[in-house]
Amino acid sequence: MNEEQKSYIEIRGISKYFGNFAAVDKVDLDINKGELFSILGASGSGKTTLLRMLAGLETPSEGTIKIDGIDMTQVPPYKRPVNIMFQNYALFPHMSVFDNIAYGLKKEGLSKDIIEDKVANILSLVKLEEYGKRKPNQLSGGQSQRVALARSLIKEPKVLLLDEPMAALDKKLRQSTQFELVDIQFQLGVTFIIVTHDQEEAMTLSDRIAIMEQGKFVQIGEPNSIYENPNSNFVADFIGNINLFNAKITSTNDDNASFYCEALGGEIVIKKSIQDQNVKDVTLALRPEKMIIQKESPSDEDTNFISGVVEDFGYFGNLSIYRVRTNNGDIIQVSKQNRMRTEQPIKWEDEVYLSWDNENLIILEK
Amino acid sequence: MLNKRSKFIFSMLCFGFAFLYIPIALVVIYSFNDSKLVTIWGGWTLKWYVELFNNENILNAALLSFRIAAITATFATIFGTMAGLILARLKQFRGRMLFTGMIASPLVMPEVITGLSLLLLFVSLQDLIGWPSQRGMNTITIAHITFSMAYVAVIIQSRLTEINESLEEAAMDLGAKPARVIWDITLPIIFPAMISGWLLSFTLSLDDLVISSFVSGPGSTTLPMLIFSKVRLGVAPDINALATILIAIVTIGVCIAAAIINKKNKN
Amino acid sequence: MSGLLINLDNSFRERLWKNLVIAIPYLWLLLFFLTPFLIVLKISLADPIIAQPPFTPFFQETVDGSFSIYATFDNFLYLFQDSLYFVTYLSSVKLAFISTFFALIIGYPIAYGIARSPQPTRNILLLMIVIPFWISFLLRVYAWMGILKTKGLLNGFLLWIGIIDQPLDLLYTDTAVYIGMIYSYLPFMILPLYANLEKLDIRLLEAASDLGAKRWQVFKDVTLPLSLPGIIAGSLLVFIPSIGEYVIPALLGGADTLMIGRVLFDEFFLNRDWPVASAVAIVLVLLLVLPIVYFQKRQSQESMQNSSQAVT
Repeated sequence: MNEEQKSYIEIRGISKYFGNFAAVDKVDLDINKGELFSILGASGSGKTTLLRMLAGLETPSEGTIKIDGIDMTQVPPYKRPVNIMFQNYALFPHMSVFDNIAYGLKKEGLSKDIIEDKVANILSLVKLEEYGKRKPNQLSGGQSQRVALARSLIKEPKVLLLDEPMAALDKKLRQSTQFELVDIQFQLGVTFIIVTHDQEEAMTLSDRIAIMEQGKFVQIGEPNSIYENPNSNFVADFIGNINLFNAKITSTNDDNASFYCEALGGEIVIKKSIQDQNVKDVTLALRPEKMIIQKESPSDEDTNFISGVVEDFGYFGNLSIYRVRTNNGDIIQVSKQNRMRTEQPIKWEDEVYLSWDNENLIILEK
Repeated sequence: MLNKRSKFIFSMLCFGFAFLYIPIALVVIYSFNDSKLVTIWGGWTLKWYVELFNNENILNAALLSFRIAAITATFATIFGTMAGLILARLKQFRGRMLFTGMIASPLVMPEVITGLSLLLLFVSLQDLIGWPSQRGMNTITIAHITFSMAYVAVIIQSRLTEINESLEEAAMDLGAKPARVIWDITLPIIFPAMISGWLLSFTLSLDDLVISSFVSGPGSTTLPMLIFSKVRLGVAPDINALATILIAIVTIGVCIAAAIINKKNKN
Repeated sequence: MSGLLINLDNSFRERLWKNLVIAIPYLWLLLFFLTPFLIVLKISLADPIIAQPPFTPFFQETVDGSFSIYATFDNFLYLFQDSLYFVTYLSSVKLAFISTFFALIIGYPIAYGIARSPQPTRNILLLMIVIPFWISFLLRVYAWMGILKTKGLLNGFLLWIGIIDQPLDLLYTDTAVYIGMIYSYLPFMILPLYANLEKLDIRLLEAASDLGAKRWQVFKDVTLPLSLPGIIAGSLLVFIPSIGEYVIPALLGGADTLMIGRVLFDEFFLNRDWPVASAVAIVLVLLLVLPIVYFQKRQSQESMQNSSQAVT
């Protein structure tokens, strides 16, 4: 990303108050042209309110929104170059699929021929050529979603907002639809902003993700950087599974930092410098797949390991997840790829050794 | 096999529907009774119907009532739809509390009070500005619109709260101004509710005795007023015939409406 | 949340349009609902005189040409001094209360039965509850006159099966009023009860009996408490209109059936005492304020709950 380049969508100090409650609290955000950007958060985090402010359906209490350099803050929804796909699709029940999709074009006052052409094109893009005459209640969930997508894309908006686009679909359909969506976005080059509570969906779809909590962004970044370098306990815990351990900084120099971590068996040295000298208490975080679980004691002298007993495990086919109780009573989650069909599986009550590479430990300041 | 409780429920259902329908059925049957006395069956006849259609008073009253009901229903539906839209979609504006109160109150206000207060208004207005110069069809219609629109507003409001606002937002998002959204999206979707509102207003107006009695003037006797003055003195066979005709109209109407709704639901 | 009618575009036409939608019903109700009511209040504070209109004006011109307000509480005092009115208010409440009670006793099992019947039957039964709604109230009350007369159908039937050997005096008694009230308002009781019982999750009942509750215990412990909102809504919908009822006591009641709607009607039309009739109306409204406010509070709570459920 080029920092100098002017961003396509500029959100500056946006807030929305409902009474005294700040649903969105002084948020700044820049989104680039053609980006597929996700806003991820639990329900009530303010993500939908932010999306509605982008659409113009909600007026911000303060702050500005610029799209393509033009201030949109006070522009009503029907004059914005932005379209939204609603969570429940909001297809007009009294209009056919064709009329639903053509609605936006009719409001632009385009001629009948052009409208018919455009609708036919977009129907083929979403693979619903034969469905123009149907009414919304004669469509399946996946078809409704595609009609909603077509309807919101037909005006060729500068930005398409999608509110929980997959929430109403079942799991199988969700996966295939995700790829279709990315495909369409790539073909049209429209900037997509997706609001979702589903972290898996956000991870697979997005170029970048913003994680929202209590009206604020807690972290913005590419999916893998958020996963591998969460900046807080909240993000680490919110995205994927993770083990969190309390630790104290014992010494630090320009290259290394030493920690004392009871749960991980004592002294830990990580090749990272701690800038703030006042920080003493930290959290060390370690993802379950970054650990190796085995019945034999690791042979290599340098390897960090602790031992424990398998308390519980879940078999997921491709992998198994173990909950191991260590000797000082902590529970640690470890996942293991089931690589060999014939492997002797690890079971309950088995004595096991967990080992890891210290570079995989994430240091989270409290 | 029916258990004890089911038997109880079943007999209560039978009793309940008998209670509701026997009086109506008896009126229908006795409208064909040749004898003027209720207890005596004098054989089948249509003479009460003939008498009814030769009674110019009844026909005039019926005509007046139907005209009032049609005008009432139309205006009550227009005003009531506006009021319902405001209640459901405009969450805050100056005087909303008062408005909500004024919409809800006619529903629970005893008819005698509505009638009395409107008459006193009309008398005062006549005193002040000379209008209405005489009470009759116009004052009755105004009174009926006032309480009917409250019913329509409630129907429309409850229908609108069922409709997800995102439908209207979607239309706005696609380039329609708010006024246009109401025309393109809201009204078509609530149209069946508006029809129900119209029919309900029509029935309420056609049915009203007390309020009409207060606000009517000389020469404007509505059908219920005429019926009331007749049956006050006892059972009247030609009223049985009239009741039968009205019951038939209502039953057919409701059944047609139910069939239409049923068919729509199946689609 | 922003609503559809919240003005986003402050263009003149949009604003005009929106204001018009508010103004028309608003002004109509101000003129034809609120103002009349204030006039009733005003006249209830006037003295009756023999004139047109038959009451003293609220603003009176004094000798020096200025205006003074003339108000008296005599009419209200009169209502309290004359025991007839007090007894009538009490009797109205009693009649309404007993009618409501019986409507509930009869209506509950019917609503329950409809809610538990299989789908096609249920719609038909519901339709049959609704149809009387649309048939003239006056004619339905009138239908009972032929049944309850001394030489009417009910007496004829009872004599014929031999339960009684002397015809009963039914028409023009309080009994007839009760029957008329229960009959007329029964659908008002059944519909909210049905709406409530229909939503009742059958699995709750199964869970209760699975946990060892007997049939009547299931009803007492689960069904009844959960249907309380329906019971309250139905009861208020019967009670509130019953208190001010005019047609039923006028047609079915006797001379000694005291109901406030009838007294108001007679006071106004027979005695032409407009101030007292107005005072009677004001007191009647005060009597109804409590149940009405309670009812509306419940309704708005319920709709709040429903809408919050719709959001999540």
